[in-house]
Amino acid sequence: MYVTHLVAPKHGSTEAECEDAVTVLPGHPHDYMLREPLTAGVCDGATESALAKDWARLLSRSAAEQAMASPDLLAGGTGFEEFASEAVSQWEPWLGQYTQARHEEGRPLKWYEHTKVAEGAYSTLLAVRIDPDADSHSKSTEPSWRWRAAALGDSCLFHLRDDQLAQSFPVESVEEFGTTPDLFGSRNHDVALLARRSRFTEGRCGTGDRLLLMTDALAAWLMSAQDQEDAVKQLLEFAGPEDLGGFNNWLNGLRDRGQLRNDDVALVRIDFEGR
Amino acid sequence: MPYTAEISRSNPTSIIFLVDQSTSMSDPIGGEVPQQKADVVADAINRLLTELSIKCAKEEGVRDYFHVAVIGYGASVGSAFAGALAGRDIVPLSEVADNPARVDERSKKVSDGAGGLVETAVSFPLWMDPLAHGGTPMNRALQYAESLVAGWTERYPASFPPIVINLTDGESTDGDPTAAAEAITSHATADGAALLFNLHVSASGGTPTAFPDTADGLPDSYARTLFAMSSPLPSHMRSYAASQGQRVSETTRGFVYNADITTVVQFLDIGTRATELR
Repeated sequence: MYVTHLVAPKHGSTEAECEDAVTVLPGHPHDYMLREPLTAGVCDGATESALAKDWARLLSRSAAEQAMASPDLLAGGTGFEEFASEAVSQWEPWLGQYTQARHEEGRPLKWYEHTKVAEGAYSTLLAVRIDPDADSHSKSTEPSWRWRAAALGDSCLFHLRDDQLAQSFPVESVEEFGTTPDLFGSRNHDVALLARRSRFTEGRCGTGDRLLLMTDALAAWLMSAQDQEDAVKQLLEFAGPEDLGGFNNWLNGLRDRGQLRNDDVALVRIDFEGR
Repeated sequence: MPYTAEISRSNPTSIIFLVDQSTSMSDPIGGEVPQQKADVVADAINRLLTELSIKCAKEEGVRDYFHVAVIGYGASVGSAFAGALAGRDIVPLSEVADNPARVDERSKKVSDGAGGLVETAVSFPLWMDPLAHGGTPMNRALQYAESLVAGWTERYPASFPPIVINLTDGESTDGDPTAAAEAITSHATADGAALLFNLHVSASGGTPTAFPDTADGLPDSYARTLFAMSSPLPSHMRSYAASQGQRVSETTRGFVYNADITTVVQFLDIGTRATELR
């Protein structure tokens, strides 16, 4: 199993302003063959909130770390509620440190930041955990992997088999992207509500399959592509961090042609090979 | 499709408020607690500038998605900004946010994120003060706005077009404002013609009317003139108005007659509603 990820800011924004965040664990290089569990958190911070990129980073890291520590986290139920509670509990201490640091730098929060910060920061969440199947170790069976995913909002997972879309989660049709997505609020202590609004699914991957995790703009492009086979082929051109420049150029071309909404883009690509 | 341009820092839009500051604006406005029209209008503009600043605030400062002018017309026509921005016309929102004339602190109950409420200090910045003195030189005000709109559309030819919002008690004292209004909406960007919305804060009788599609039922010639001057609402504003409980149709215009305090605030909210900010 190989994994890589690419994150690109919207056109006109700097890398530091990008509000999409990705954490993949364990943090091996993209050309390292993984034989152990893998977790990933993909978050799309809401531009309308302040500190959205910081919350997206904290939330994606928290999701990947906790899913790694607890295999059943993404099955829903109390495990997910505990994760949500833990993630939200990290926000106020982080904010306290941030506010203090700004003060010490001689740049205390302005009046509009105080109001905005009090509203909390918001982000979507897509979390995935993949485990090698225990019963496929013998040479007589094809290797397989079991994956579980949780999603709040419209960041999407696609399961490709023979480089064709076999499954999409949680959004199933492109029309669903028009609506305001559910978001994970940094100050939302109602974890039962967060768990209720989240969606959970699982599946199996075999040799040659791929999982693609991505934020909404790229997912909407992929789903709406007239020639989906060609769209998948274009996307699979990008296979490692050295492809980031080409990835950015490709995204800007799609934006210029009006095919891709000008938004931040995060992509995680997981290729399943032999064991 | 017009009125769909992305609003971003490299492609901002402008909002130009025209605020009637004539003597008659000291008359009371309808509502539970009678207030001067001038007070209600100034309060609504200050509140809107606060909300716009907060909406566009990020940790590195307020993003200049909007550039804003507040032009008063009464004894004179010109910038209604007080404090450091006095005399300025179109000002980037980041400068607006960083330069209120003063900031009042008030307490407000806000959600604690766990189903409860906590009392917290909230800042109420103020950029303009109420004023009610002199005639109603609406023509000159609209001409002033036209010069700003002309400059803007030339500078940002691909942007969402400028939005001009005229808040008045309706009685122009320097002639029929129709031609000056038409001159404003004759300017356009690639995304559509400049928009002119009118809010008639009349205290006289007549049924309050919000976002009508015809002048039928409007009680006087001032109201009918302002209706005729008003642009149809672009579709995203129409949808937003409908979601706020307003009855709208395809030909709904950005016009309100006999507005009460709540309607003034809601009108400004609908009239400045942006498509997605990028």
